[in-house]
Amino acid sequence: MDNSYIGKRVDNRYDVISLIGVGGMSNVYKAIDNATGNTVAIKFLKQEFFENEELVRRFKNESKAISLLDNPNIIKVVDVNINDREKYIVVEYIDGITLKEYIDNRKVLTWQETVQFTGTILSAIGHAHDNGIIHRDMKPQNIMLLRDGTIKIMDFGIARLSTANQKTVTDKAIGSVHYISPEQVRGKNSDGRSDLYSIGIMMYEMLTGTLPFVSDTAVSVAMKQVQDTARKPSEIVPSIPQGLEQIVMKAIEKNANDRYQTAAEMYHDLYAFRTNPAIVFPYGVETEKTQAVTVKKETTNKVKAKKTKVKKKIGLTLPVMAGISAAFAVSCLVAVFFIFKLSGNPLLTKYEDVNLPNFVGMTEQEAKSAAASLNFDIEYAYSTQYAEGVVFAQVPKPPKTIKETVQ
Amino acid sequence: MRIAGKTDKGFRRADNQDRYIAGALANGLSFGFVCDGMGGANGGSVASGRLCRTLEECLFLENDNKAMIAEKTVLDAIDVACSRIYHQSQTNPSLKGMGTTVSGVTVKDNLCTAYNAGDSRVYVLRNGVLTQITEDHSVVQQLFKQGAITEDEMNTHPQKNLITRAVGVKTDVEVDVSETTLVSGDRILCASDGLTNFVKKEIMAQILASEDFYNIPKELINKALENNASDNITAIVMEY
Repeated sequence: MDNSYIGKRVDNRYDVISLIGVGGMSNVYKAIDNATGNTVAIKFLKQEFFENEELVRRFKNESKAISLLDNPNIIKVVDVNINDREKYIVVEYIDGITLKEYIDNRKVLTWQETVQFTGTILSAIGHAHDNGIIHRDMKPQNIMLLRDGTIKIMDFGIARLSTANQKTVTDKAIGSVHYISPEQVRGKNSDGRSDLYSIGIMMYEMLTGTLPFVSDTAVSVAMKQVQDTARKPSEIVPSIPQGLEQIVMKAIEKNANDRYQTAAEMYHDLYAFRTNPAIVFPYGVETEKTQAVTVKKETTNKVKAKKTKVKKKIGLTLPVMAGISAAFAVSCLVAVFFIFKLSGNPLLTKYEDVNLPNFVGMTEQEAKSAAASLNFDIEYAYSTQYAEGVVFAQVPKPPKTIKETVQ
Repeated sequence: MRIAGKTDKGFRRADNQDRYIAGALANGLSFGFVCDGMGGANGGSVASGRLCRTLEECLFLENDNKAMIAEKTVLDAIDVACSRIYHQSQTNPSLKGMGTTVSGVTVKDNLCTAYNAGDSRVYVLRNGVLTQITEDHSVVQQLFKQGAITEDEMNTHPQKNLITRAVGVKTDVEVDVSETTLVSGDRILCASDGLTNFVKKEIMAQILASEDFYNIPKELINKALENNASDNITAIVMEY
């Protein structure tokens, strides 16, 4: 029955092409949406769940809630259709690889890349949280990476429905055991902070190429989430900057009250780190407290100014926390760094080759001083993903060798 | 030995996938089994029904056999049913993934043998105290045993529904067997999780102690329904 969709037109709109995925609760097909001509992915609820009224009701409600989310980094729900014959969700079709595959390929990501991915993920998750939607199954397998580097978070809120209230035999423990928060292991109420915990685990994995809690059985991994303390990432990869490690360790605190309380708060620290990779945060490190507090204050002041501005502009009422969230949630002015393609200039061949640095993530000022010996132009553009004054793109991109110029 | 049993669809499910059998053989053996079917559109009741029928057939073959070894009969029956259910689920796509729990007892003289795979349960009420004599095969039970979660957390966990064993989801199944020596007046309760999830243990103990023996299953189920039980509910009560 489940395979019979291929080659058929569903609801006189979607031409189903092929089966692209089989999940616990749904089968996913690639299809063409005849209303728009777009390629889409359709998730059909498996027939065996049709009788479970509660599950169907939640499938419908949650799908509708997710369809209201509007963020470039969250997979878009195009259509939700729940009737007697079919129950399905249509989402945009993503041609890419999962972040898990990317990490597995690369083994370890640079901290710059980790910061960039995490920043995007946090701003998207923050948008969902602001709309009352918790993902509850954040893991690199649920994050798609497009060819151009764009990130798309999938399976919002749907994943945890998969076994809701239906007796299921499993060899696995609850959910995606390597990424779930202690409160989810315990079956306690989970909230946005549970997603932040999972994002912290993902950062750990990106930075070190390993997971903080591993074991041969799922149950003992779950137990470690509750009881064990993770090794510091820098014990595995010594070059990880302290400030970034602090962010990871704070995100994966056992007690949700000790973590970042909101995605924006975590983004705030990530931004402060990106602005100043030598930053040391005032938590967890007694000895550097004085210095760190000063840094933090500066950041806070800067943020406050920004908050006021943004608030006025779009009339948002934001919860206590964070100006920076406003700055990130709303488009802001950032720098695009254009480096002249000097290597193509035959006149310059007599000069030495230098490796092109990655300026993305730096502030405009940092980029200028780092690129002092290069010819470049700066363009300004709006980005929803980057903080104000931060370089979010550069042309050409590293790795690339360019010719040094004379001052 | 007095025996009473009842099952109810509950409020939310379209059909009842619980099945139970209970009775006594001419050779003096009494038995009661609860099977909670799962998976597939109708597969759950196919699996639980088949297991109950197989148990019934195998037990009644031994009706007059005074030298019957109950444990062997029951385990063989579960074994046969398991491989039948599994093969049926592999050949009929609409039954794919079906399976069933099994929890029950055989009682001969004062020896109560309890059998369990899955998260249905067997309890014994003695002197007003209700004791669970089977151990659930569930993820939360494992987490509890390893000390990751408390008993309270286990009982209220939203993913209590994840079980680690069931009859018919693989070619064979491991069944726990345990023995309890009964004393006169003991009451045995075999129940599906529709009961145990929706009625507190103390309340079950109170109802089980009732004078009106043959109404106990109905009273237990009514209590679960009062608590808005969304699942199928089954209870068998046996008095030694």
